Amino acid sequence: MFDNWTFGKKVGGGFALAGLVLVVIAGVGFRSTANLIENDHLVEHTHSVRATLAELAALVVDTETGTRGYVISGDDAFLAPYRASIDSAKRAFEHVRSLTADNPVQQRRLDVLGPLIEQRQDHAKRAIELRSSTGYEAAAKLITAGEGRELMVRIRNAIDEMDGGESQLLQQRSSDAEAAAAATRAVMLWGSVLGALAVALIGWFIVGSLSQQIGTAVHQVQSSSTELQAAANQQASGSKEQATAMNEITTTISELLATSRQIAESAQRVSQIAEQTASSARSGDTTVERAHESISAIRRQVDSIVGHMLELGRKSQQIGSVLDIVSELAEQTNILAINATIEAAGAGDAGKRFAVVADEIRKLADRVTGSTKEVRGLIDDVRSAVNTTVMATETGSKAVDAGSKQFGDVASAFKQIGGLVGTTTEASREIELSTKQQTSAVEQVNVAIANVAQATRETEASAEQTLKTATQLSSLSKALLRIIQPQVA
Amino acid sequence: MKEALGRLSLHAAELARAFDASFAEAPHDEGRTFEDVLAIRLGEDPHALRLSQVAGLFARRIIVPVPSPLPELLGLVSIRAAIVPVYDLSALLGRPPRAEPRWLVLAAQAPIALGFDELEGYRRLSPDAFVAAPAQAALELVRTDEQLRPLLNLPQIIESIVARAEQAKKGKGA
Repeated sequence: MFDNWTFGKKVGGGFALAGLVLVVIAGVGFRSTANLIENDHLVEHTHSVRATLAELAALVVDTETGTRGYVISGDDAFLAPYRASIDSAKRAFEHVRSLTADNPVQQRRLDVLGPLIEQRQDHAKRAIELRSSTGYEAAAKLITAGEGRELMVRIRNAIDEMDGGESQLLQQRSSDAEAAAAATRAVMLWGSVLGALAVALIGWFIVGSLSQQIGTAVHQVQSSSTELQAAANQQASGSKEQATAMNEITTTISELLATSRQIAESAQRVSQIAEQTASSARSGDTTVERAHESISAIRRQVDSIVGHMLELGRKSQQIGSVLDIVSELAEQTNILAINATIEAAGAGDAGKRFAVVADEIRKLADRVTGSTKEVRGLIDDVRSAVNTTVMATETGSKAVDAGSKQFGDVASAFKQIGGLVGTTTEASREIELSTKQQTSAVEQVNVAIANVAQATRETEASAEQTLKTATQLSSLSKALLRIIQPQVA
Repeated sequence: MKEALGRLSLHAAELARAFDASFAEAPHDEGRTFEDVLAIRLGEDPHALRLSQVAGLFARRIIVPVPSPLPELLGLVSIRAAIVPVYDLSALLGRPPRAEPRWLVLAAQAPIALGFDELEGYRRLSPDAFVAAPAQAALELVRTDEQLRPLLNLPQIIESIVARAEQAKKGKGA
């Protein structure tokens, strides 16, 4: 149960238990002392009651003595005790009544005593009055009658009875006071003994428990200090390795810093080149637009050429038609010439000259036919050339269309290139800015790494200091163990 | 093209000059013997006809077909206000018949026209251009345009047509 208690709890508990024993002993002693003091007060009270009773008895005697002296002498000087005792007796009686207010027996006795004292004072008063009025004899007679003496006896008896009661109380209270004093002494003695035993027992228990607990803790501290030594050794070696690594990292970061600066410069150059490229792309775009316009003009020219060629084809076709007519005319002429030749042959000599003319006409028709064939061949060549030209022109037109489209593609490609180059410019600027920021960050990292290297060196020094402290702690724990458990140490 | 046009212009000028010269110069064929022939083509084969055996040459005449027992008779044609029968020369020579020949020759021997495909031209030949066929003495050949072509004997062909027509008439009458 107590094993789980802490050091403070055990010490506090021990002191609390010892304090509790002392409080008990003090309480018992206080109570005994209070009883003793109360008994002392009661005894003193009883003595006061008895003294007041004795005073009351003396005052009654003074009353009797004064009365007798006056009666005998007739001198008023003897009445002084009488006069003083009258009121004093009343005060003493009331004092006794107040002192014995808690005692009904004594109150009942006072109820008897009071009238007796008043009767005795009345008797004295009558004697004095008789002496003063009638003289000695009457007064002496009254006194000697014995009424006063009887009252005095009864008063003395009553006072003696009360005093006896107070004496009994005094005895009883004295015995009570002695018992209380004995109890107080016993409490003081045995309480001290028991308190000493309890404190010793608690001390022994606390010392034993704390020795065991502190010993265990010291063992643990010793073990922990050993582990701390090992950890400090590892930390020291790790700090050295970390310091070495930090140096390498510093070198690498310096190289990285140089590389970042080179990248920033390269990005700046890329940005400049990209701007130049964008300018060239814009110029190329303008050139392509001009070329596109030229190609459009060429396209229009080609269309015009195609139109002219087709017109030429139609014209050559018309020429062919005319040539057909010429050829047919030549053929008809040839037929006519042949028939004329036949007819001239049939006419004999008269037709010879006509035959010559017919022959010339036939020759002319033959030549015209040959020429028409040649012209037809030429026209065919022209038409073929026209067709070839038209086809070539159409092919060229298609090529021009394709070229125009390709120029359009090239123009859009140039625009796209311009846009991409613009994007590249922005990207290269962002790269340049980012690289500069990265360079700044790397410089900050370099500073931070330098700080970390410094911290590592400090950690290394701290680890060595920790090692020394652990060694000292181990020695200290051994010394503490020798103090607490010398048999073990 | 330009060269051809130039050549054509030269031809036209030479043609005009020759035509004009023919009326200026004296006839130079006096005293010489010539034989005029018509070079024709039946299908792909060249042939020739003596112009002296031809009464007329015509082209693209409308031939009206008529029923006839002779398959070679293509129809009738109007020549010089006369109705003339037209026979297919290719069919007469045993070749595949031609429906509408472009050219017609009117035989001098009888009013009979013969149709053929193509007229190559008029040729005036010297006598040495005429040669006899080595295998068949009856067939005469003529050299025109550096090639030999059979010279058709038009009167014989007309006679055979007349004979066949009469035979057909007789066969029809019997």
